Amino acid sequence: MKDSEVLARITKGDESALDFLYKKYYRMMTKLVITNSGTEDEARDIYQDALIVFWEKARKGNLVLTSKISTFIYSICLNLWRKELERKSRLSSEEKDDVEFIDIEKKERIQIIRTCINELGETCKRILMYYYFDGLSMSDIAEKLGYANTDTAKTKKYKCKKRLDELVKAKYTESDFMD
Amino acid sequence: MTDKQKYQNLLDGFFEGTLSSSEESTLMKRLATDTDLKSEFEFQKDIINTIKETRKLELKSRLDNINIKWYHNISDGWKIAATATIVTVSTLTAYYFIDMQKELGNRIDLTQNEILIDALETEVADIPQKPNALTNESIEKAKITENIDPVKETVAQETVNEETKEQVVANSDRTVEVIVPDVIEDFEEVDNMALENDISSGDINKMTPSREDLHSSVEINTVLHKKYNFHYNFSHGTLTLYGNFEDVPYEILEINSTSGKNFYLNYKDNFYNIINTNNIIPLQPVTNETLINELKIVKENK
Repeated sequence: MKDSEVLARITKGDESALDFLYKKYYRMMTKLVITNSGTEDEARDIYQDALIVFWEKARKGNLVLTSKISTFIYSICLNLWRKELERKSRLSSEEKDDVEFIDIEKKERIQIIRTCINELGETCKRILMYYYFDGLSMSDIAEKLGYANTDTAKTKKYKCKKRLDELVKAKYTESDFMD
Repeated sequence: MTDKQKYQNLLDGFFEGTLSSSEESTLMKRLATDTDLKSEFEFQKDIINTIKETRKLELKSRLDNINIKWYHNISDGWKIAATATIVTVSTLTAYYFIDMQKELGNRIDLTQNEILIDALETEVADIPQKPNALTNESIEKAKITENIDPVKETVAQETVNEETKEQVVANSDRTVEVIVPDVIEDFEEVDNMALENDISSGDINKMTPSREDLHSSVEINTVLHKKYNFHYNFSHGTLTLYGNFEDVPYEILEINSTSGKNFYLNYKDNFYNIINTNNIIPLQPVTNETLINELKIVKENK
């Protein structure tokens, strides 16, 4: 499959194109991390994150490739791994207790929101993910989820978001979101 | 529209990326002074970030489920076809050898059974004592094991019957090897051993041929290279073929034998040796006529 074809398929939201890229460049990308003090798990994680960054950029439709896809993903991997090494280095020099405290509170907050997202049901979850992460237009969402028209998708998205806000607020008081 | 509604709309627009720069600037100024709005802003930010994170996790989970070992670097039909050929040929080859062994074993069993048992006793008695495991019981087990294994029967026959030995040696380059089984006392260990005995763990000579053992672990890459044409490199289970292998189908024949696995490339009706090497070396044709004939039989029978 040529780069242009892969990009076109990703732009349309075809997840199998992502699978294709993952398989094709797995060794090349993970090697970059492994040969730079990373473990295989870290390498896989970085590569997956890089592919998702690529997916996000391509999905938004404003990605202009001036190089091969592999070169582009490689540079994302490189940046992500540099950031991760910096983060590790910072962690070792900072006071660990403070960091752990912040992490636990943030994780707890995110966990509550995540639970609420799952309580919404599959359709609402999908609409919100497609809208906020994949950047799908309302007409794309309507087509993908089989709605009659764009307005139906728009109304559905509004209701889903409102319901999520209510669910989270019911589980968390406003002050829980303040430091 | 109240002030609250106005700024709520601005918040929504901010997270949907639809604000103009002046609207965004208005919102930011308000956020600096309005604590309620700031609180709502943080709330919405967390929710939208978590929606995005949920989607990322879903995509990562999808990628995690891809069996990457089997697929990586296989990018076209020829390579997949070649891999499939390896599995098929391995299966048929193994059955071919197993059948030969069975046939040979049965023939010996019918004519030489009693002699064989005596010979095995002699053979077992000659085995150097293993310091920890060789007891009378283990010797008995060795006899039983040898008796039901046609390959070992052939070995025993060599000890007794010089004439037969010469015939067998003439037809085979197997080395004489008698394995003394260790007495297994801990059956949990047996389960662990079974789990470890997959093809990727290495020493195939220790494995009993079975259907489960017949999958190939070889990965194949083809590379068009300016310098290397019709070369290869084979190390750590990865075979890289250098040259134009895209236009003509090729096959990798994987032959299981008692001395290990041997690999051959079949390309345009010729066979080429594939040996383990860290260097990129030219593909050398097989010149041994007997081997070529055997490879042809294997190829035709697959």
